Amino acid sequence: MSAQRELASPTGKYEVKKADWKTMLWAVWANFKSAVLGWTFFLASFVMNITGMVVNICIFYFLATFTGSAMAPYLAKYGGNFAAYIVLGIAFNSYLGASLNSFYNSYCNGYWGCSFELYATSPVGIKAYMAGVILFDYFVATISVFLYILFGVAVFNISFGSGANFGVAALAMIAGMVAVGGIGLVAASTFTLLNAKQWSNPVTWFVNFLTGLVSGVYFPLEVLPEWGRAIGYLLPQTYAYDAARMALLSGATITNPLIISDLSELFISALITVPIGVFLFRRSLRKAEKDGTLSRWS
Amino acid sequence: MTEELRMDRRANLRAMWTFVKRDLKIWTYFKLNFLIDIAGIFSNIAIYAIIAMVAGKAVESSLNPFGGDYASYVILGIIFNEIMSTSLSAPYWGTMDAFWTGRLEILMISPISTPLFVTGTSIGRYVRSLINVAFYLIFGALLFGLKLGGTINYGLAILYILVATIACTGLGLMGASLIYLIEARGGEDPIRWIVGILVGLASGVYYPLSILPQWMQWLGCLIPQTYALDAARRSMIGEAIRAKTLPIHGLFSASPMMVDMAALIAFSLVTVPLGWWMYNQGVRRAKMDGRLSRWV
Amino acid sequence: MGYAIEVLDLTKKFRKVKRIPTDAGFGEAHWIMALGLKLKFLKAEEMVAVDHVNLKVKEGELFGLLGPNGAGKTTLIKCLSTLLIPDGGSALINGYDVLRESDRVKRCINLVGSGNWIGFDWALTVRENLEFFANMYGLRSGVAKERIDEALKIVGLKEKEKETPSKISSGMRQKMIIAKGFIIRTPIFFMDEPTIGLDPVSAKDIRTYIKEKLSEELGETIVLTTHYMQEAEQLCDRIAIMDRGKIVACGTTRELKDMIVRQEVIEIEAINIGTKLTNEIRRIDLVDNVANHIDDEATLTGTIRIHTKDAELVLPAILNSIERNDGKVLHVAASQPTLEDVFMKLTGKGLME
Repeated sequence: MSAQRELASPTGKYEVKKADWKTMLWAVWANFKSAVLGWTFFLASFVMNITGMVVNICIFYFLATFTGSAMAPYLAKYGGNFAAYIVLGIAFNSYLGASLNSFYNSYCNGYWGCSFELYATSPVGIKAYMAGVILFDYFVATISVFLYILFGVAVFNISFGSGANFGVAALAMIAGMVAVGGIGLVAASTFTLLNAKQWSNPVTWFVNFLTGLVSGVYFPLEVLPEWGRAIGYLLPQTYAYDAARMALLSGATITNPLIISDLSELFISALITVPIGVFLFRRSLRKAEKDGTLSRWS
Repeated sequence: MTEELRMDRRANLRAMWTFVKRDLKIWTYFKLNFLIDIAGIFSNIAIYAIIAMVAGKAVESSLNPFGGDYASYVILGIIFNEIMSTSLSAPYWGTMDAFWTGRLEILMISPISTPLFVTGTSIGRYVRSLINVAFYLIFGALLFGLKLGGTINYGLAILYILVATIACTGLGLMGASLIYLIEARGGEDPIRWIVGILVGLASGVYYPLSILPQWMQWLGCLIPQTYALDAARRSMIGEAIRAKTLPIHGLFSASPMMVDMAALIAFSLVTVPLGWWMYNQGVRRAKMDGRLSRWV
Repeated sequence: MGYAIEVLDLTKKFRKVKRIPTDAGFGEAHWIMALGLKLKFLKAEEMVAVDHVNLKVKEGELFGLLGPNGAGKTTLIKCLSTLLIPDGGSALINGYDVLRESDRVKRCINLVGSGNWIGFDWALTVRENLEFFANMYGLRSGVAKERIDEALKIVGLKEKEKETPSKISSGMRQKMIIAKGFIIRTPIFFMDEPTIGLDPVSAKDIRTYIKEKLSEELGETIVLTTHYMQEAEQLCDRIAIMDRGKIVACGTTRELKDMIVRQEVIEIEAINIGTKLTNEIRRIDLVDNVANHIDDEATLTGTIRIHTKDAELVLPAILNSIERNDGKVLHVAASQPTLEDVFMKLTGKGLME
């Protein structure tokens, strides 16, 4: 099937061209650049954003230092250092948080910023806009991860385990991002399907709520009662954090049975969440087009 | 012949009530989101409460002046900070909201006074904050082990928080004035930014100042929130009332709670007039430059 | 009867400072400005929006401010309604100084601007939005209800009172703005291009209400800015013509038209009216002023209005010019001078340019 199709109007006078992959890529890149420019244009605002990330990690560092001795028995698998545990948890949560939230947030941006009207009538469609914004979210997540780890290592003397396995950690993160991305698409579909238009929706709220409590971001699952752990094992994030931490703090390799188990769970999660997410998101777009709610104004 | 308008006290109260109704309607317009906000309160407490439950005895000694229980310590910190951060941010967001929706000019030429305008555009946030506080207390007490122990003095705690709210409102007005003075319209201004950093790091919301290096503890003494949290906690759950927890307490022979109150009053006496003056200067600057609206 | 509005030598300038981002964040330059430092690259250009304006409006008068876009009408209104602080001169509103007694001024004025639905809340219904503003102006609930009902009826929004602004058209949102003005009764009413964006029938109803109810029955002093000359002619007792910040003429419609009584006006409707043609016609002897108005940009079809001392003498030359420039004449007429012609004589350009 040709990448480029030409559709003639009934009079034969005008041709409507569907965008080819190069045009789509260009549109995504243009939106991404626009978002980056907007973020960095005002130097003071940009500095504040970056500083905010650093302050956030400092708060959790002090919290970990304050309560760390009580946590140590639960952290044997991860090297025993609660500060390192929590810093990595927050860092990883940036990526998986972007996967979870950015689909919905980009939809909100497009709707409330009235960009959808413009993109919906162009050959590239609103997906190019959303893709650019989502790419930007991952870009910001990458910067925040870099800052968290740099600050943790340089200022708070957090050290990784000997033989820290960055490759396995990256693999765990990518698998996690795909699996959680499926949930993110489900969340984006609620904008239209459930009329969740005011920058929060039940899916991301619920998953964020569970993530904070039972996926191991801030404390190991071992401190929770059994029913809490059981809920945690339903989330793909739990496996991603577990595998990435073991890789960095204990040097676990790809052949480690626990790593294999975590990666398998992530693969299965992705097989479930991604198709459901794509289906629901497509459905929500069709409904928006039918109801005329791609734009704020009727 | 039509006459000049008069805004008597009843008219002013009606105007104020209209602002509250408007804010609450907007807040509850999307019902699902409203419920999500309430549930977010639950999750916010839960994370810290779980850490507190694990930390348990290990941190008791650091928290003796505040009753020793970390769950109560951190939950009260979150609750008090909710109120104070609202008073810090409400003037800014009230003015910003009016600016971006184009209501600023319309309200500025109406006969309501500038204090009523600032209060009215902020008051909805206070009401919402109080509702949030109620939920924090309910969740904290019923589910997460918030213990209000020994000698509870609610009146005193409320007094401290009230004075701190006044001081924070002054800071908030200073921050809001920067909307006009330096066009800080991107959601943040330097004053609230700096105060926000200090609150998170060094005011004692999440952990006692004693675990911080000395220089950070002194930084914490530069903001009113630190004193309010210290004194209000002692009133609600404290046992060792005379224990000195802030570095500034060591400079005075008076009791720590008296030092806290004196500091809060001093903050209020400085920040409120200064904030009000800056805000009025800002409005004047905006009228000189034609910046009360997005369009000249 | 005294003066409701007295403006003496009022001036308002705007400084456009280069390279200062506005409207978002607080950029690096703002830190520097906050410290009071000036940098070389911050070169300020000054634009005079209101230039030594003198004006007096009698109590109960319906006064028009006519001028093209950018003439300074809105800026003048904002200065008089305390939204802008003038750089020079003074103004009294109902006897109160706009600078020193702004609180008192605000109790005497009402302002309706143009611009979609600016100022209204998307979550409140049309009626709730109007109730909000009624309360801002201290109206009791019974009075507010009565006025809102009347205003909605006049602007034709009664059936839409339970809708939110996002669900109504842009024209209806403009009607909301007007309705908001109609519920408040003050001695002085500023209306800044109120009928812009409205359909002709609604605009007519609103003009009738302004004239008959507000001006004649209630005796309000109304200052109406517009760039529609028919609106100004129909409604206003007196009109001031404004251009580039200055009042270039002021008087009744008759007085203004008498300024060009000795001129004849030729109106030619043609195709392919370009700038070259207009300039060529300007150079013809006895032609005083030329203004064109294009209705169709694709074919440059529109109307040329020519002021001349002798229409019979210049017409052949004009028609030759049109033919030489590949134009095609559709209609030729001699017309009576209008306010647009007055404007053209005074400023050298059309009202819509």
